[in-house]
Amino acid sequence: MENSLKFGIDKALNLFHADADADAVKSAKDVEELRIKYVGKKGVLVDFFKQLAQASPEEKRQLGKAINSFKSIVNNRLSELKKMSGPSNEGGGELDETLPGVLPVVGREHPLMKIMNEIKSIFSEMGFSIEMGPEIETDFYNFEALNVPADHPSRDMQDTFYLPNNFLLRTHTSPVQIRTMQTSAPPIRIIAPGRCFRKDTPDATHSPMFYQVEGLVVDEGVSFAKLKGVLLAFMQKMFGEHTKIRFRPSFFPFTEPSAEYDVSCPFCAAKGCKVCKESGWLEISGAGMVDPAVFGFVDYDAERYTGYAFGMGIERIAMLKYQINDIRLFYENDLRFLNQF
Amino acid sequence: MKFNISWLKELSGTSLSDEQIATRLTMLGLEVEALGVEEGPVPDTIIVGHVMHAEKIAGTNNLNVCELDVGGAKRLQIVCGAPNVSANQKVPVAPVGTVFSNGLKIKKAKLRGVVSEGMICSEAELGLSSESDGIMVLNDESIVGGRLADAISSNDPVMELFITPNRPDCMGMLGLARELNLSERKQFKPNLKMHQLVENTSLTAGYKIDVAAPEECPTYTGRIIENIKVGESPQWLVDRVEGAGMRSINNVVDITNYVMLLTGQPLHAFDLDCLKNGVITVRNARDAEDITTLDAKTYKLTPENLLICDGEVPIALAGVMGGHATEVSTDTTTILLESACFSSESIRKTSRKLGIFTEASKRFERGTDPNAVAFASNLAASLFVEYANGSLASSLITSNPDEIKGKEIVFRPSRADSLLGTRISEDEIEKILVLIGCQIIKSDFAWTVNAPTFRPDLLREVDLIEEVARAYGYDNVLPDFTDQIPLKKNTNTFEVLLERSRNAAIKIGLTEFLTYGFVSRQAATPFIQNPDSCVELLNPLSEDLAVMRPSVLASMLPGIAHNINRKQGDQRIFEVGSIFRNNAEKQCIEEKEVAVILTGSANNSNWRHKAIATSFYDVKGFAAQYLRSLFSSDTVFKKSKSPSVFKNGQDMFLGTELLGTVGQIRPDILSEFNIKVDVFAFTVNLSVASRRKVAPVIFQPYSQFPAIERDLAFLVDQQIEAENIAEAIRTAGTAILVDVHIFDVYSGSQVSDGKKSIAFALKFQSPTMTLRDKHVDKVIKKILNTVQKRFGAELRV
Repeated sequence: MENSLKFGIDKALNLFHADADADAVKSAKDVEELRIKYVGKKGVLVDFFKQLAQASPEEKRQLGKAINSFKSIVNNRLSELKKMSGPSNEGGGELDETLPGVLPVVGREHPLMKIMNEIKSIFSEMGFSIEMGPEIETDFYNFEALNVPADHPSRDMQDTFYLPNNFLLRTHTSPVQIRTMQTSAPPIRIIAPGRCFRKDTPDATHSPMFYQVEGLVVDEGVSFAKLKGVLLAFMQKMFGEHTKIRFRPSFFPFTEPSAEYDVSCPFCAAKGCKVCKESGWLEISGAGMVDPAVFGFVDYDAERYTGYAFGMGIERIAMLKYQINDIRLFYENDLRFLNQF
Repeated sequence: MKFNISWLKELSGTSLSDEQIATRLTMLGLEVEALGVEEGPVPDTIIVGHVMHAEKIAGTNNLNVCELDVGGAKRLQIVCGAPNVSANQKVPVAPVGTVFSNGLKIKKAKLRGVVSEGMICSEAELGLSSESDGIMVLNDESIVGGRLADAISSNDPVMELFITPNRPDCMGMLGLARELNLSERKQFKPNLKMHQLVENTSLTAGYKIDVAAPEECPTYTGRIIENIKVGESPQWLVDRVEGAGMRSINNVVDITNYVMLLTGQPLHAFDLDCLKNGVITVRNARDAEDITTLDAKTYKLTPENLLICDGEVPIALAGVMGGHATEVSTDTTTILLESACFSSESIRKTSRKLGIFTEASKRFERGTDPNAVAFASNLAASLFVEYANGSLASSLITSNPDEIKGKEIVFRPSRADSLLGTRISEDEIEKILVLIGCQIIKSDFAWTVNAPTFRPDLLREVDLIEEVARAYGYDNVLPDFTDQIPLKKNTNTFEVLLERSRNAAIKIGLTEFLTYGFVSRQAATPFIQNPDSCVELLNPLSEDLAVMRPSVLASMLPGIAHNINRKQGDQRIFEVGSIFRNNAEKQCIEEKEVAVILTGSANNSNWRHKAIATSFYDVKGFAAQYLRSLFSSDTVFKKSKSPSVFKNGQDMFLGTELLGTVGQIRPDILSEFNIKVDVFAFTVNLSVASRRKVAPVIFQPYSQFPAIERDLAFLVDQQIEAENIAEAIRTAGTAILVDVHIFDVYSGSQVSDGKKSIAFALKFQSPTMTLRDKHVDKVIKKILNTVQKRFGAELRV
């Protein structure tokens, strides 16, 4: 009794393996047929149990083990096969390699954040640490300590959103410079990325909210030439190793000397094209040496320390890099836009 | 600042091309905004016609039938109602078919039975001026049949510069010429034709100037010119004034404007016959005093505003605009010419408070040169003599005859090199400073530099260093790369957390939104507890962007609706950003929040997998997975007690800290955003979360012994919550129960009404031994007991 059943189980197991490995097993339907044959209600397994009922208690223990083992091997193998086979509606089960693969769901970073992170990582490599500050600011940090007194015409360059109790929405991330210098002594080497707000009606090139990165370096012996060096190195990493930069004199109350800087157009190798309006140059933003008056507000010795500061608009860089022609696209959040990056 | 390039060339004596001039000025910090010949608004089809005959139509007041030569063989017959039309004029003609920018279309017409084949145009009709009394009459050289645009445009290219607020000197042509000469390293010697003035000093005593506010007005001068004949300006004067984008009015006004454009010093002419009191007083306005300005508007004043008065009577808003009552008219014969210096701060305040921005105020608010006052007055006087028949009835009457000295600055050439990172020779530095108008007394280490009074921006050594850099050329400063060694790096831990939370969201397949920080009050309302906690902008762009968002969800939902409306409704979105609220003390609190929104299908539906609608369980799973990857510990979900935007909201805790809520957004709130489908979401307050230390990941050794799995299915009442049963199983399961998870939940025909079946998969394992059935059986028994007793559960077999 014991031996014949044991033999039957072994034999069934071998048969099962042969069936399961056969090429004919493809679809879920094939797998289901196997299941019915071996472990279904009228399958081999039920037979084994019937036979087991007639065995002695001693035999039952041994055989029960064997039957359970058979059952678990078959079930495991079947579930493996089931996972590999397609659903039953695949029709016949012939593999059609031209059917599209099933794409996994992936997350996507907003293009502005993609650029922002690229910028952050380049500056990190260059030894800058990242600082943050609040979006709601005071007049002191946003203007006064940056040498922009009330009623000064340079305030006209930035139209500001105001909140009750003399608070305002920062118009640049420069307040972070002041906050950092107030709490730490030189050397300072930071970038301050973040959201800024200016009262501009949205159109293709204006947005009432935008992202900016500002840099600040303060130490002994910091020079305008070093500012040019840092920005050139950065732009070459951002736009390619042949990129050139151009500084033009300008005016900002918080820097002296002040400059606007441009990069050579990466799309036409500065030969002139539609993107750079045939000029060969793309205007990026402002930079300069920290005005000694600013150091006065944070009690730095302006004779001993010098510093440079620079800014850049993230939308501007993203628009250049991806050739996006309307800044509003960034904030419309249309999936057809977001899914391209 | 806009001007004809020919004027700049004449003054500077340069031989550079227009493009070279543009580049030079740009690289000196004078940004060129436009360059080229200006095209007016005139429609292209308008041509020059010659009136051959003009004959009054009988029985009409003013209608003339005109015959015009327009270049071709055929002459045009046009009926014209203008009083000034007459034979032999050259006039602008709009033939049939012309369309004006206002949409007016010229058609063939009959007036009083007379056929008219076009229109003779006035300046107003052409958009060249705001009003006109009759048709425009062109000068005789205009080519008949040629384009009007060619006939009226000067071929002199115009340049427009953006002048930064620190450069008042460049608001005048002389300043620009000096800059251009600087770029050529040429001494500035402007090519100016100026007539010798024959001063009549005898009349000076007759008129007085009394400055009661010397802080606001350091210098005030007047000069009386009589026998003036107000009339048309000579063409060269018209060209200069119009090239600058101003309107030519008459010779008197044009001369004052011309001198302002040239020197940067605004002037004003009063009709002396309207002044009664023989004394000009410069004083602060009294409270609620008012003045009616040239444009016939009346302003209520405060003591902040500076007034020019005839005795006591206000006649001009100092430095901003002249008064209506004393304006020069065509009958004027005698003028009082004002040339003065006002404090830039005073003009700025008045201009901003009253909202008046004029060519004069634009210059005064930057700070004009106190030493240009007399020069500009003299120059204008000589032009009045030459072009307006004037004769000098007084010499310059001034409140302050002293010459004003420029600022004295200690300057070290070595400091320039160290700040710039350059090696510029001392000779070059000296040359540059002299060319911009400085006087230098040299000594060994430090020079004493006297800055010119037309450069009020030069106050400190660093300001002179900028001048040196500007003239030396920013391009010539070579980049220095030696600075790029990492300093000690501080890590801003909050910034790191924000980045990690973005990455965690991307990792679980979410797409990032970025939305404005402000929303409409309506969008904010569902997310605030009371109206006072809403942070409002005092000067919003529009009602749609009026308050700071109290939750990131408030600004995201319009974007969600945008995509649903475009048939891209399957959305799995997140945004990390600032949220704002007022606390009980009315202080604004700014915190960071991450918001996640799921809507549409929960899976990537495709040919193999049918779409499954997103459910509460999906968003709860996203939330659990998200927080696990951020904090590497498990979230506890509890039924939300506070009212919120969620229906069936669950609060999420890490330890005892409430981090956020997850659930389905209430349909009534969604309807505010015009969303009609189910939307699931969760938010996590990252400012709160940042207080929690992230548990360091420490490897947990796992058992080397085999595990035993058992499944238990219970039949329970519908309202019994699965998590409670799971928790009871965990507790009863002792240390060998290593995992419990629900693998099936069923209610329907197989179970009786009001019941559901919940199936748990249990895994038992010991770290020290191989478990046997008897060990597990014992624990299972305990579990069964507990669950049956506590939940009235029935074991399904």
